[in-house]
Amino acid sequence: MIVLAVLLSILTGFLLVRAIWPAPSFAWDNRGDWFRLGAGAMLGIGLASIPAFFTAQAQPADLALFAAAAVLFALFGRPRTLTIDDEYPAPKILTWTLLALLVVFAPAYVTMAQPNPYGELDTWRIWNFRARFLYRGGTLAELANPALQYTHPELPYLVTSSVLRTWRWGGEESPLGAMLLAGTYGFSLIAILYGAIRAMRGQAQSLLMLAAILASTAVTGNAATQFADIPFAALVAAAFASLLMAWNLSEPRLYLLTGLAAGLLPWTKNEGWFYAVPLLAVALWKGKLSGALFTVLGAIPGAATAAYFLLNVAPAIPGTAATFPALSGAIVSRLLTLNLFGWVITPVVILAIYTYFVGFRRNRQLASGITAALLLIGGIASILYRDDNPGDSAAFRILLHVWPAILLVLFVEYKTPEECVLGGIPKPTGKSRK
Amino acid sequence: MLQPFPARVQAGIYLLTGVAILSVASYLLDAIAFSNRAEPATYGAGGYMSRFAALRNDLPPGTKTLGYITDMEKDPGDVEFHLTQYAFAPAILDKGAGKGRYAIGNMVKDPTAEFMDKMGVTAVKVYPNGVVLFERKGYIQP
Repeated sequence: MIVLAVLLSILTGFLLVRAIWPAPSFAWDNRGDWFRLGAGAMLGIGLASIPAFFTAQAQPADLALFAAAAVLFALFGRPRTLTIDDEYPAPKILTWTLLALLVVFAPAYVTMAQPNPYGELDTWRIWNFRARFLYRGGTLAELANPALQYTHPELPYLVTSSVLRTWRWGGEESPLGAMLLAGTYGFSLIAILYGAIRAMRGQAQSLLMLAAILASTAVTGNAATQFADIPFAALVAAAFASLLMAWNLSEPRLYLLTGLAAGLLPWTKNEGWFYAVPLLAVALWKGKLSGALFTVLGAIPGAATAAYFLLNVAPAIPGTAATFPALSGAIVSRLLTLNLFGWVITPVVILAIYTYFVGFRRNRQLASGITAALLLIGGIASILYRDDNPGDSAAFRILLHVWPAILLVLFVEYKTPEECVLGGIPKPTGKSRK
Repeated sequence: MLQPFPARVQAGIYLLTGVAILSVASYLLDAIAFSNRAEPATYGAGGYMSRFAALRNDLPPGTKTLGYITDMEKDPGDVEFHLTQYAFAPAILDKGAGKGRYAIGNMVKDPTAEFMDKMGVTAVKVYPNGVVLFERKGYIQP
């Protein structure tokens, strides 16, 4: 039943995303469905965590959410008549290398997660503790007891309520729920990045994006420790990728996804407000009236829940603030000397060399770079405003949150391998789908 | 292999996939080393839940507050205390004899009479693995 709870929320989210951004056919759409699956999983889990916070019964609310998503899919998700250019097929060696990497990465991830079913220190001490406390009959008011201040009762509940939800479905307090959710967050992050680049920039470019995010094992591998920063990063990526796709594919309805994902950010972690505001501001700026309306509408469920929690439930707990020189120094140090890539290679140098080899496309979008920069500024501002753990740990968290967005900008703006061929490559003949 | 891409693009592709291969291989080695790290079964959140399970079952249902007594000299970051708190949620632990009837003992050695006098408790039951149920001296049922 725990597995069913996770699968149901993934399916709910997938149907919802397909209703918002329909595919060209009912069948699996290679170009967009990896993004729909990843973003759908994040949105499905995030939205299901809201009723799980307010009610003690998980099943009725989850089934109602699923029914609503199915109705929306039936109404708006029918395949559209689309003209899609045929893709240049990616070189087979690249496809097989990346598949082989995924085949190695998946068991490595399981091997890393399995000895630590309750997660790392902060995971069991904060997020999973609160789920256990509430599941066993404790109340939110009791969690605010000063003796439990270390569990951070002021932090929002997307992660905690999601774990709680799986236990209510399963009727038992099993670490399987948190482990499955953590794996889903990690998978979603990869699927969002790969799928968004596949939809916008083609097959070969999406495989190179996959190489870059798989190389960033400090990000993807950390899902195994059940850090709340991974679902947060996946939601940032979902919101930002939707924004980029709305511009690149001229799909205004994708602003609704931007709003949904951005709205869930402050429901995941308090610093989410600092990331949601720039995302929403850029969507309002670039989206014209329809984009702005879609964005605001999408943000309502998550942002309203987070605001309610902040104003009515979260106890006021004083925090400390970092100083800008210390924090910026830590970020630069992380980027230049420590590895985000699992092997001890600085990602800045690797990507600089790659940029030298490949270069950027001609019709670059300034807005995508500006948005990524605003996300980084938002992350820094959140730590400067208040953080109990300033310094290197804060710098690492900011980079976890923003790194996928930086990769998205780069791989949207890099030339694709096909664009680097002088005179272009002849397109595959035949069957344009209409 | 990567025709018809220009040589420098091929170099870029080889660089990126090469780094990805090294990173994933390194992650795999880390994962194997991590899983081989021997840890006692009583360690971690799961270990503490099993370690204190018998005592937990002996507590009166609905116990909301418990004292927390230990003879450990150091508990960096209060990790031991928080692990014990995890095991007993939703009861809330207070360091020392506490305000309720019972206190949990997370002990390295068996408690001596002198130690218990100092803490203001008496031992009710001693369990394996350094677990003790104490009762606060002078506790009056409300």
